[in-house]
Amino acid sequence: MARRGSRSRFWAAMGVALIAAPFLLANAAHAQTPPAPAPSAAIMPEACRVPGSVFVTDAKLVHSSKRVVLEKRLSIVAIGSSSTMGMGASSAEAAWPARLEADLRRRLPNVRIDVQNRARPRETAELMAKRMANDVLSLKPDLVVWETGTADAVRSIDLDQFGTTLEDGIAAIVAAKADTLLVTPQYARDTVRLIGFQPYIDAMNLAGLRHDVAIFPRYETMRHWIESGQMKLENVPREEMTKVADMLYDCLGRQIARVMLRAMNLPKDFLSTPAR
Amino acid sequence: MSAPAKGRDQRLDFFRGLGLLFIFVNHIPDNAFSFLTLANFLFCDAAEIFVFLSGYAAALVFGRRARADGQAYAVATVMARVWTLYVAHIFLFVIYTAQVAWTAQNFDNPLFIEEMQIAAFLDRPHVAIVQALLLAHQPLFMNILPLYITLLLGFALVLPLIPRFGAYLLALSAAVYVGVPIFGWNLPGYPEGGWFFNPFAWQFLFALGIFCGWRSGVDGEPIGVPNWVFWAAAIFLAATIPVRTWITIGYYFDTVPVAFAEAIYKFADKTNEGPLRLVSILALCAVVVWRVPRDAAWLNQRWAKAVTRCGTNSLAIFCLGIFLSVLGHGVLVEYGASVANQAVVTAAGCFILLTLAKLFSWYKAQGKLRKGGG
Repeated sequence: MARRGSRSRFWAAMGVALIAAPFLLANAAHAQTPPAPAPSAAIMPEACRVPGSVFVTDAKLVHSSKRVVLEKRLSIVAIGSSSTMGMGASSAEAAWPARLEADLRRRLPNVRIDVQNRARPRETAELMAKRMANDVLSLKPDLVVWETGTADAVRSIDLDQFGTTLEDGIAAIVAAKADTLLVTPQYARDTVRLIGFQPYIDAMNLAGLRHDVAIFPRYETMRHWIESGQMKLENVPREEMTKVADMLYDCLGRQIARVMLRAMNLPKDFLSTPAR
Repeated sequence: MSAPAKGRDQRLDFFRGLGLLFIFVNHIPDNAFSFLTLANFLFCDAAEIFVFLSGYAAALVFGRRARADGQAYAVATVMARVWTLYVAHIFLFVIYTAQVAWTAQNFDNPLFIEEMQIAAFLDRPHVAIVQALLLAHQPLFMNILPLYITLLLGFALVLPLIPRFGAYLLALSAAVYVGVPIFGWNLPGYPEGGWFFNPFAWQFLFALGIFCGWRSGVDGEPIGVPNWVFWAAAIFLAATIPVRTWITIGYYFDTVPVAFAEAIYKFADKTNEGPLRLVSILALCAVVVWRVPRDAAWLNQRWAKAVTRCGTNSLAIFCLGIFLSVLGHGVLVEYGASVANQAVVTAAGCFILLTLAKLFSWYKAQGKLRKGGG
């Protein structure tokens, strides 16, 4: 009898532990948010912050780093879909590639930064890869930021085909002696129940890993912003929509700049002091 | 001896019921309680449980039917079941359509204009509905019934051949499974790509379920498995659980070596039921059969009975689970997806499923009683 009692107590304890685990994990995720050091406040506004655990890419942007250090210039071309075009924003200047340019100029004051935007709506990775040579590589960029996966997930493009397209696109960029930064799809509560993004993000992660290509995890970044309540992107009143879009794209630009700078691993004296 | 009605193995319905509860929990996107389900510890998930055990149950029910009432009637019974499943799938598709139309109407957001292309099929309903009727248009999370329908249809076709050519059919099934990655067979999906659950690959797991079910339930001579297989299965699970859990927690591929990530990606491919997934589910079944005796006392406890009833009413509970996951997600979108809210939604959904399963079982029992009495 006593043995039986202790056994059922064991199972009860296991049950409690299992049910409590998601709460504890969620709390741990919150606790991970680093208490950001005060000086960086000017560079990364409160609303744009993301816990360090979201970024794990350790690929390096070798060509870009060399160009910056040796020639003090950096040419970036962004290719992507509606969200890269800046859909919903107040102007083309508010799209994230333009915000990225502004932020990089602020952070690398002695480097000539140029960011071109070659996004088009509703294109699958395949269509983007097809125009990569003419639209993007012809501009001789040091770095190509490739935002993709959304149209593919929406249309449920064959995953193997998607993977092959990514590889081909990356190979073309490598052949043009440029770095690649992949940007994953956006997160929204309303869309994730209808569209299966994860397999496409996995394919992007794998392609990145295979070719040592850096990735900006926009999906996880936006999930953090939305689920932590830091940003409200859904059910926004119509008159506030433009303001919200501008803020989102500004934060994305800053975060992408942060990932780039980390992956370029520049000598300290290239970076402006945060106060400036 | 009253418990296993019609000599049905109670474990079968218990684990099928558990799988159905997992499917509900997993189908609420970003549900923290998905952490508790199989997919996070093993390289297989509730889909494998569902397909394997459905094969097992199909052999049991329809194989016995063929013995008792003849092949023709048994085939007709399977076809009737296929029809029921087909209607259920169309019902789920209507729910999906309502959900998309609702979202498209309320989610008027320029930031996600690209994503809302998912509603494009509403612009061409004549094509979308026909594609849904042809099972080609399979919305997210609604792709397992088309697989099950196809598998059961195949089963109806080969049922008369099983008693004489069972072993050959199993060999053929294995050959098709092996052929999938080589020849890239799949059925066409809509608007593009193939089926998320490739029936040419998943049929092998179903066939293995049929084989096991037929041997133990129809022929009455369960497959003699040497003891070392159970040990091997246990060791396999013990070795893969830490690896899979590590991937769950570490999450990003970046944190693991390239070759390892490539191997996982290739061998744990869900669409083509990668070998790692196949071996995982078989090992899991072996260990369960080994460690949980058919007459285990806990199977008769109230909570176990409640889960078992979900398994006995599998189709209704599956459909309701999908429906409730849509509803639950809607609640989380509206009221915030805090872990506490997720807990409430998950618990409420499971409670509703368990309660309705009880109601269905009661209704069935009443029907039998009244038929018998009248």
